[in-house]
Amino acid sequence: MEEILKLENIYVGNEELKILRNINFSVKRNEIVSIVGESGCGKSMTLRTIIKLLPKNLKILNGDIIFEGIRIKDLKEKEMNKIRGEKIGMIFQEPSSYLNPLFTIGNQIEEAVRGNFKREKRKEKVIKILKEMELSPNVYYQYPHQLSGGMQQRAMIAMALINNPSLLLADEPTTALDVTTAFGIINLLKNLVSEHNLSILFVTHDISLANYISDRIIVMYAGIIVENGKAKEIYENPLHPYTRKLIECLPEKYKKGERIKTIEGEVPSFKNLPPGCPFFQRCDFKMKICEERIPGEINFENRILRCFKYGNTLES
Amino acid sequence: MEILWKVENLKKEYEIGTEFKKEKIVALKNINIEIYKGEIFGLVGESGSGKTTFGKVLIRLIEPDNGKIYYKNIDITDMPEKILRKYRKNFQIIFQDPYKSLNPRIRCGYAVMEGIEGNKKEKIERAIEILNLVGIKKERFYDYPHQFSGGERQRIAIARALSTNPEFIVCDEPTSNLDVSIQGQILNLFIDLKEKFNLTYLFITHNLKIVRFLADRIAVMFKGEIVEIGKTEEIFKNPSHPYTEKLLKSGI
Repeated sequence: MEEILKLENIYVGNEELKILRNINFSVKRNEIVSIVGESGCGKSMTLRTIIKLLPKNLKILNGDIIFEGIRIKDLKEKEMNKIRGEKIGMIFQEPSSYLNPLFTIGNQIEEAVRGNFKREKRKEKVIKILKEMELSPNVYYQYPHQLSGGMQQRAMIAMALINNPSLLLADEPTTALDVTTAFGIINLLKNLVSEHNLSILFVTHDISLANYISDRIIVMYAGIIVENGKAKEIYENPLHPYTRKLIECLPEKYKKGERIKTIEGEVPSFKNLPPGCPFFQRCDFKMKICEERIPGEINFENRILRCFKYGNTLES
Repeated sequence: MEILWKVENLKKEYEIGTEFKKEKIVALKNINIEIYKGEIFGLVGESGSGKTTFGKVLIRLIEPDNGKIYYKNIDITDMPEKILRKYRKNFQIIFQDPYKSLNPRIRCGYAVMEGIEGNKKEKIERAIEILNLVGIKKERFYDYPHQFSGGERQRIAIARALSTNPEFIVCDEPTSNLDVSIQGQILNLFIDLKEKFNLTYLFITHNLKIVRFLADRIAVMFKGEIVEIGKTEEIFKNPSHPYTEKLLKSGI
């Protein structure tokens, strides 16, 4: 399958901080890829790098982002604006804080329509997409406060998809929602992939949700990718010690009365990263080399890993 | 088993809107529940189904409109606050957001000391002991809430709840703001404390995985009503109410 997005050796940070270090991955057409990790692992930052909406003090230091054959990294802001919304859509965790309370949903989605269309035609488009999101056409005339959280999130997805982008970036779109509504949104996203010829890059901290929705899972830790492979394979047979621990601490893996195995310690802050493998302190399999050097990427059983347990490649 | 809480026909309505246009919201509709001593009672349901209201009405942080609440066979529904005070230290509550439930200007040790009786020295000793129990080191006694991480703050909130030696704690979604790895630690802590002090929990959550792992019995709430109540495994194996079924299906 054709690769729609490709990140090559991406480094993000500034003189003092290194946030993302040597990020390499690609998203194929019609594929859902999840990025998993605890908070502070650089998941959202990766999404913001792709769409070039980084905080002012951070820059892309090195590497290339290739989206549909275009090198996004070197694009000017004006050209980038054409790609945002038109080719890449994005949805966020808290839909209510991204909708303007003073305008109707229809008005706000219409605003996102690119290209010269007559007013009726635009409205037609919006109502069509609302229907696809399983919302009633009435929502067009309603204000954000009249909708529930799930409906707001659907309106956000409608806004992101109105121009038929080929990539949707989803930053924990269901964490703020109820179980049943979240399930509806997840299934909607799954269906949209084939209908809209879409690829989704999905950020979540719930690895079982990632397993449900995605084809591939990328596990991040302290700004590096530690494991990247097929979702099912990773979920059923995690190789990297961090992925293992992430799966081990899910309550559904335990019976009543047992104790959950937890990950001791915390994600190191970006301000004082250890010189070696960032997971060193919490790892059960640590060796001497882990403390001193960062493991490089290795191919192992059909996935990409960064761990000295599986090979002795060093990060250059 | 000894019945710790018994609730009969509990009702609570809210009014929202302006002076001109008022709407009534039924938060609790005829709730009947018994909670046994020493169990973990899970309460699940969507947001807006009245879970939190129930937890608060139960320990009379909110006054009910109708119905009776019995704590150890004592009717506390209309008990004046002065007398209720005596009982209050027996039941505590832990909230969802540890950022909001701790006063940012009170050092963590002092926050825990508030509920302890005795002279200052005894208070400090006991506070250190409790903080140690929940995994906060002695050296951090004088730290302010902002110096702690989310999981640590939730630990302090738990320490505060424990400071009065309660027998019953309402846990209102205590882990939903935390990372998966920390969620596990806090859940373990809840089990450890329960075994150590023979506590009873009302565990309010919308996370079915947690409820299945933790609770002995669960009640499913839907639009202010309890639609199903029973032993956890039985409900998970064959749910009888359509809403419960829908809820179970959406657990990924």
